[in-house]
Amino acid sequence: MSFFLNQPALSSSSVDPVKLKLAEIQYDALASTLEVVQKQCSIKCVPLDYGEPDLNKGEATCTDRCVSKFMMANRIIGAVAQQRGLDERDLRHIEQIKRDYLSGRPEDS
Amino acid sequence: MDQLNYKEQQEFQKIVEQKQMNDFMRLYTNLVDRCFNDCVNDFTSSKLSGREETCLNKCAEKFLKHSERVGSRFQEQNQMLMNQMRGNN
Repeated sequence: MSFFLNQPALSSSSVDPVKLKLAEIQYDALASTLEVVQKQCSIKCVPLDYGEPDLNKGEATCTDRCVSKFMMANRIIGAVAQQRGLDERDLRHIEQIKRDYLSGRPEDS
Repeated sequence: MDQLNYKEQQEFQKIVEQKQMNDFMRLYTNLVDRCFNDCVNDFTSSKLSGREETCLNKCAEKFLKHSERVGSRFQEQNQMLMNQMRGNN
């Protein structure tokens, strides 16, 4: 993705909708990743009883490590996905399911 | 986003502003979700008990501090990754 974004601007005054869309997709990916880390690390690091409104030392340390490990896990899975050639075609079955349900007749078979 | 030209950056800024509103609302919804789930479990009254209120206050503050911390760590890790990628190009 960065390959496309790294190209020097040919004209500094025109808006390239493709580049803009790519930037938007990158933003969305980052925002949803952040949301997942926040959720997962709060489940794993902050226990359900709220004795005090501050994060204690243990919770803070756990959170730091959790984010770090999440990012590493993300990279490992990214490498697996890349190696396996995971792409939009892997979502085809979802498209099929969506089509079936939106047309009002779920698959009988 | 230093790869976008000036005009594109302006356009992108507009898109991001809209999205940030959504992101904020989602964070807020998650906050209420988590704290309601953890703090409010007794339905013998339609009013919040003192204990539940205290719990909600502490929970909200703690959850926000946690999100903030995750945000800054996330930012750091991401920056490191970006620098590595730039170094490899």
